[in-house]
Amino acid sequence: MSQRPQALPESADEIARAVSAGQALAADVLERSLQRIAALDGRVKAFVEVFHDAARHSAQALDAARAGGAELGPLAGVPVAIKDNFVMRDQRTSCGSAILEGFVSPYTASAVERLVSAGAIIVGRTNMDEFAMGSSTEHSCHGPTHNPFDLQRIPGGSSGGSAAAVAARMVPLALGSDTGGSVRQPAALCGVSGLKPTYGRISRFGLVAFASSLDTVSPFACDATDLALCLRVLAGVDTRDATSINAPVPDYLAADAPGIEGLRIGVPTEYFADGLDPEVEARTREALAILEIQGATLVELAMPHTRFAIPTYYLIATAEASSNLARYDGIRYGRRAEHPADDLNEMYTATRHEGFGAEVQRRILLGSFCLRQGYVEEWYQKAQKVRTLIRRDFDAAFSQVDLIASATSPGAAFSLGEKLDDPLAMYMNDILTTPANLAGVPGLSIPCGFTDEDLPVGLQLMGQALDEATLLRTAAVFQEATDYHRREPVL
Amino acid sequence: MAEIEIRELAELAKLARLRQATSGSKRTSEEVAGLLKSFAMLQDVNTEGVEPSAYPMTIAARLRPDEPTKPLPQDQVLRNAPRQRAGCFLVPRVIEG
Repeated sequence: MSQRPQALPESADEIARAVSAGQALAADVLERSLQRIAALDGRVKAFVEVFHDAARHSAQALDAARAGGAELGPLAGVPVAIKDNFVMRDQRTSCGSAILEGFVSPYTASAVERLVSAGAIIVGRTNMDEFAMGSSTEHSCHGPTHNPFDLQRIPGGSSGGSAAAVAARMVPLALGSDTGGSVRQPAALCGVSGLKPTYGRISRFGLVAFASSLDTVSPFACDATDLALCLRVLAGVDTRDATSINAPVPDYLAADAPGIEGLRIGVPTEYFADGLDPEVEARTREALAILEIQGATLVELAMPHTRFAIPTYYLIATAEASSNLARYDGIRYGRRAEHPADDLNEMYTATRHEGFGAEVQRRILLGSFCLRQGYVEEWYQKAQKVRTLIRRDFDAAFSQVDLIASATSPGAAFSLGEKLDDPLAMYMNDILTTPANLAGVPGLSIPCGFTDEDLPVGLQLMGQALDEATLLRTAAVFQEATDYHRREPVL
Repeated sequence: MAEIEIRELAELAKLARLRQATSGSKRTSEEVAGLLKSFAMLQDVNTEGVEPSAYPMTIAARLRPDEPTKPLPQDQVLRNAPRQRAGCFLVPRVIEG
C-alpha cells in the first residue's frame, strides 16, 4: 500500500517566508504538493491538468535565483492552482467546455502574471462548471469534482476544483472567479476561506468572460491571513481592464490594525428567511455570537429587495453571457463540428450544439430572450433597475453598520446529481451570495462549524466597496478564536 | 406580462445558433419558459424613476491614452483556428454565386 503524502502543513505565508529566508526549497515544497495531488486527486478530481514539468522548472529557477542572491516576492515558492477559466500562455484553457477543445492561449491573464511575479508556482488548472455556470461543478466536460469532506457530495461551484484542491491540502492557495457566489459558496461547502473582492479591485484581463458586470477574480486559502497576502499581490489597476479600479492597495492585515471592538455587524432579516437549513442557521448564529464576544455589536437590519436578487441576477448574468458566448462560433478557436460544406449557419449551429452543454445552452437562450427586441425593457432593463434598488439596500445598510453577516449557502453540500434536473433549485443555492455581486461589494466566506453529518458550514461577511481590510480583519479575529478552518477532510 | 410561448423560444434558439430540432432542445425551451415564469415576480417591483445599473460601480470609465499597441502576431492568432489557409481563417462559403 502506498504511503499517503502528508498534507502541506504550512500556510502560504509560512512557505513564502521559509523559501525567501533559504530555510526551504521551492522545489521541495512543490514535490510535496505534487505527491499529494497524485495520491488524492484520482478520487477528488480537483485538477483537469497538472503542470508537472513547467512547475518543476519554475521552482528550480526560483531556488536558483535565491541562491544567486535575488530577493524573492511575497508568494515565493507557494504552489497555486488556477481555475480553468484563466488563460496562461502556451497552456490549454477549457472553461470546462468541449467547445474550447484544443485551445492554447497566446497570452497570460493579469492575475496569473501577478502571482508568478510574486514568486508563486502554478501547479495546474482546476475543474469548474462550464463557463462558470453552475453551483456544483457537475456541469463540466471533464466530469464532476468531489467534495473532499464527503466524496459522494458536490464541492459547490462553479470554482469547485479550486476549493477542493485547497480543502484537500493539495495547495495552500487557488484562484477562482466569483460571478454570483462561485468562490464563496464552494469555499463554504469545502470548509475553506474564499474572498470575492470589490468589483474592479483585481483585473479581469485574461479571465474568460461570463457576465462582465459581475465577474470578479477571487482567491481561496485556508485562512484570512493567506487571503490577505494573496489579495495584496492581485489587487491594483491594470490598463488592460478598463473596469479595474485605480485605488491604493493597503496592507490588508497590518500589524497595527485595530481588533473588532465596537465594529457594527448588520444581520439582515431577509438572509435568515425560509429555505435556510436549520443547522446552517444555527452554526451561523453561533458564529455571530463569537464575533459579539470578540467585541462586535450585532444590528438587525432590513434589506427588502434581497428576495429579488435571484431573478435579477439570472436575467442580467444570462443576458451578458448570451452576448459574451456569441464568440464561440467554430471559426477562430476551439472546436468546429462536421457540417455541410457550404452552410455557414449550419456550421455555427452544429458547433454550438455539440460544444456547449445543456446548462450553457439554457442560459444562452434565457439571456437571448431578455435582450430580444420587444422584451428588453420588460426583462433586462427591469432587472437593471431592480439591481439599483438592491445596491441602495446596501448603501442604506452601510449607513448603519460596518459589515453585513449571513450564512454563505442556504444548505451544506448536497449529493452529486441531486439537483441536476431542477435548474431553479440549483439557482437558489446562490440566493445569499448574488446580492454582493449585483452591488459590487466585497464578501468572503470562512468556515464556521459543521453539520451533524460533519459537513462544513460557511459564514459570509460582506463589506463596503474597497473595504476588504475590515472583512479580512474580522475573519482573522474569528479564526484566532476558533479552529474550524484548521479541520482537514479525512481522505 | 405576455405568455411565453415555447414556439417563440424555439425560434429564438435558432437565432442564437442553438439546435432546436431535438427532444433535448425542446426541453431546454420548456425549462427556460418555466424559469421566466418564476422570474416574472420582478414585474411587480415598483421601479418608477429608478435608473438602471449597467455596472455596480458609479466611477467614471478610466481610459488609456489613444496610442497603438502591438497586436498578437498573425501566426499566434491563427494557431487556434480549426481551419486556416494562406494566413486567413477558413470558413464555409458566405456569398452566393
